[in-house]
Amino acid sequence: MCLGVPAVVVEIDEEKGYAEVDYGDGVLRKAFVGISLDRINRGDLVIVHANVVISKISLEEAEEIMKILKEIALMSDEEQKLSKN
Amino acid sequence: MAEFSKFEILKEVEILLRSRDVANLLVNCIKKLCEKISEDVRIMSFCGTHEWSVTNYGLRSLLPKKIEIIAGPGCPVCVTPSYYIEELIKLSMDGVQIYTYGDVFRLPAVKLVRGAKSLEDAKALGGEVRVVTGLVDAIELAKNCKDSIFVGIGFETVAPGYAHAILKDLIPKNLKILSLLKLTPPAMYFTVEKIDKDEKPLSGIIAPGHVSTIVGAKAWKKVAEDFRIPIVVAGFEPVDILMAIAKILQQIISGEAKVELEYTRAVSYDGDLRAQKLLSSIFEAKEDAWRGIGFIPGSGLRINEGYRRYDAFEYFNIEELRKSEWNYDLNAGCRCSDIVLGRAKPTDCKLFMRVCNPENPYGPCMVSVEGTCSIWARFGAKEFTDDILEELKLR
Amino acid sequence: MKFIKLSHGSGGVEMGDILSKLVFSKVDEKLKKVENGVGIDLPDDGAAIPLKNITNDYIILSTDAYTVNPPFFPGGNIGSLAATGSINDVVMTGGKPIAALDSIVVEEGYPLDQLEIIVDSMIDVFKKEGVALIGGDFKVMPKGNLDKILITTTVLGLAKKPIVDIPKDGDVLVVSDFVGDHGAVIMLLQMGVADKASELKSGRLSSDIKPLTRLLPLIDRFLDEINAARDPTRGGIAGVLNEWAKNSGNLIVVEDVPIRDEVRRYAEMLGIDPMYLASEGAAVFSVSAEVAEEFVEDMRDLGFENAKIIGKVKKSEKYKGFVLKKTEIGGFRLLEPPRGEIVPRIC
Repeated sequence: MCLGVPAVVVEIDEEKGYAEVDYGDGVLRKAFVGISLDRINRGDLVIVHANVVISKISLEEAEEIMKILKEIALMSDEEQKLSKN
Repeated sequence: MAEFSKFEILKEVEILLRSRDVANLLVNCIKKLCEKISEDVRIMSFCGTHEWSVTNYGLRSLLPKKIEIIAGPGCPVCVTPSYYIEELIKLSMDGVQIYTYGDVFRLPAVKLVRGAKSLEDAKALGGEVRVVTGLVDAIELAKNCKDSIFVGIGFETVAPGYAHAILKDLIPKNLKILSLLKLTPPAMYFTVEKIDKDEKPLSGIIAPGHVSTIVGAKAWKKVAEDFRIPIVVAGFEPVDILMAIAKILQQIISGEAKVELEYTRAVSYDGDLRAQKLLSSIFEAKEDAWRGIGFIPGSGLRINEGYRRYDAFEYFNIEELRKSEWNYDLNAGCRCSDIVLGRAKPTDCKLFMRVCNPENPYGPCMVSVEGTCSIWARFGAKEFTDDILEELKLR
Repeated sequence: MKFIKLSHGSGGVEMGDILSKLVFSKVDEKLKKVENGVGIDLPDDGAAIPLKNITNDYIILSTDAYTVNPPFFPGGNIGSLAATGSINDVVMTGGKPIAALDSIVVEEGYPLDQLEIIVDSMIDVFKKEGVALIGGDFKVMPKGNLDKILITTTVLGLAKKPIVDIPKDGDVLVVSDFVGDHGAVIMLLQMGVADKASELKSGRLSSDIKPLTRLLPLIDRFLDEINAARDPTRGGIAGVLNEWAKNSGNLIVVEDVPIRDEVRRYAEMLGIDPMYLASEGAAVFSVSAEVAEEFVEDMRDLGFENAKIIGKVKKSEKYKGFVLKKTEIGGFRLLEPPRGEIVPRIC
């Protein structure tokens, strides 16, 4: 229901609660910060839905997932090796 | 210039979340879990964007036959009553500038209004309609312009954005918001309550990840407890969804029914407290009409007394849809209400791909790109792809 | 004379002046006609091409009207687009482009300096490709009757054998480059950032407009093995593949179509599928499986380093005309033909 897109916060207007974000195409676009402003800092990776910042992506959690998934991916390599042998 | 290293990390995560190896392993794991369950497993992907991922990545073609993924009512466009679109068509032709999302632009009304059946038609006939990506765009465009309406469709995700703009007075005086916002937890409760009495009840729910960033995983607790259904809040990458399915199966096996969080990188248990507060201070929750479903108590948000000057209902004298008038909401023969509730598949509807197709949508489920019928029409049903794979021996 | 007036299109002195300034003075004498023929060296009702000294067997002709809003975009403008587009259509039919006609319709009041840049860009492409501009038309429409500018180009080419697109069972599909760049850029400009031209320049997205004439030696060499060739413009690669599947009655299976990261991200942002976005400098081929690898290698040697195999053509009894896409995670889905306008979605 809600297409969320990752973007990097480049600039924040604290007073108005605007963030300028880059979705990865190098163009800055405005978005409202609908969530707690103190959660958002310059350089943060956030999720934007229809011009509204709805969440911050936790890099720790992302790295945690990466760790788990890499292990899974490795397991699949081993499984393949086993099945080939 | 943005910090591209952040995108690099994200890209790495994305690569893994879309990895064939990881998906294969999870599918194997799901198959093994399935062997421990005797009955068929019906999982509702409540959110339209989940349904989009499921189809876009061809997840159904990977899952065991025993698992059925049913699309839920989680598309704010498809559930917007025809009545409001009809009112907007009239206003656009009376010289009011309408700003709207692309999928609302194409949403068909039931009645023909001054020769138009959608805002797209209205534009072609001289109505003032413009597609925007969000309220920010509308604000920029409406500055120093005439009377304008932003069609405020959406769920809890976009609602805090509208609320924020109202609270901070960022909206030009000539631009009014027509809040047709809907709340998801009441709708999920309503849906599950309805299907619960059916022959084939739900075995689990994939809860909307982005709505949960605002309302928190806690919002689904009541549904899980009252109906004893496992619920997993999931992200939108294919591996996210596969993980959520595995978690639901694990719960079924161990006889649990709780809310679990898979989308940990973006969602917390409590959600965002400021956003929740914003919603309750700017809007009031009302009984609201869901197209093809009916009136659901406390499921709609309207701008409250204190902020009426932003309210399009007030300024343009738009009347609310009355309960007594609601029944005309679907075209004759249209089974969108059953499809939205997960009771029927698009292929069960006699109109599907005969009278109703993506070029000429007849019912709301065919309109939005994430409407179940539209997705099935464009990407094909599971049976269909399965059959092709069988013939070509591609599996 | 800073902007276009209706009189510039009235066939009088003003028109003669503007044509000579905009077009005639800029085309090399040699390229005003096909050798020994008649062209804009002597502007007449039509142009003449002598066939007696031409040994090839087929004349290839292609015409297309170009409208693009906005007329200027990162990577090019409507002028370069008009020249490149029709050249590529001829190349994809197996022809070597030799001559072109253009028809420019411009709105009254349009700034002359901008028009000049557009026409220069068009002439520049023809010049670089050695295509003679042998005739054309120029009209002005009253203000409000046209949105800025419309250019129609007709390009003529010669081929030993035309490529008629009928992919065969067992064929391998090859794409020359990333797809969707042009469509993404135009969409980007239309979705409210048209006023941010300076930012766009620093951005990483630009149109992929380029003539595909460099592919001619490859087409020449593999002529008997190429069963279809097309540049995926409007409707994107999904459009081309669906047309091919439908016309040949075969089933097409694709996977791993090369899409630039920026384009993918931008498309995800709007909720659109890059498989439907236009390219203006990429080509898709359907070639016999035996030569596919060699074909790709040769293509890379010609400078198309992103060339790759993206799928197969298969015979199907029950599912003629469908395109199946193998997804990143190994699932399958149908790739539908393009429908309606591409609009961004909220959900």
